[in-house]
Amino acid sequence: VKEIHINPNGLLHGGMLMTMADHVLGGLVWAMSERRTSSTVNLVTNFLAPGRLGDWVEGRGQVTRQTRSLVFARGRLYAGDTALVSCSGTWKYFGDPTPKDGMDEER
Amino acid sequence: MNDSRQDVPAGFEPVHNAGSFAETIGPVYVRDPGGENPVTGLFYDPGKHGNPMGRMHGGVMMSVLDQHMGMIAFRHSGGQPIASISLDYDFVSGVRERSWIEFTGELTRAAPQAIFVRGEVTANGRILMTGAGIWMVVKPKG
Repeated sequence: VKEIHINPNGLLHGGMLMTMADHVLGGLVWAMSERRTSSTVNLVTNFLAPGRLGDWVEGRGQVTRQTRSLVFARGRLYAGDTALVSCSGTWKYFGDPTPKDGMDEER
Repeated sequence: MNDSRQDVPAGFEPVHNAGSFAETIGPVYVRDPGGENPVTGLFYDPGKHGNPMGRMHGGVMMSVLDQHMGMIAFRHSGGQPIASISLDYDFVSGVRERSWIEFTGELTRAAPQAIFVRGEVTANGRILMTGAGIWMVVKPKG
């Protein structure tokens, strides 16, 4: 955690933690799906403890369920042994053979 | 990047003192910050805010909507400091071109210890992301 990641309270900005949660889980989805491109559909972040300047933050996660077009994943971000964040999300593959849910990717 | 000030819609002013993270992803603008319907604005710069798929990075939308909804929550905390407990975001659609992005929100409920706010991110009226969050009211110790 560097100075550029700090919020007005002097703590790690929640936006940085959410961005990292998206990357950790999204990267996991990408790796588990033989590198198919997907986009985040939903991300829930629970803030358990604040991150501080100088912390080394690590993410761990798992894929909880895969379907033909959706992947569900959850994980945590840690600073040492302290869990800062628990998170879960849903990813949707691009190029789904049966797009019928009306999700409007471009406009 | 240097936003040309005349591109910023009328009534918006740059946000100062929002911390170094906000400065890193900004500049961020706000209209009517103390009023009934505050709006936060940001120019999506594909070179700065784009993701590997050529669309606006979700992290930028989550970060700015977090700040905007937090501002609304703080207005209802009776002057007490607040801390985000949980944020839930739905990514509805993407944006590719440089655009003016607006962040709006409203109070769902202000309880004594928890404040519930919902919000959304739009580009030219099109919804990019919706969100809902819970903030804890931090009571003085003792």
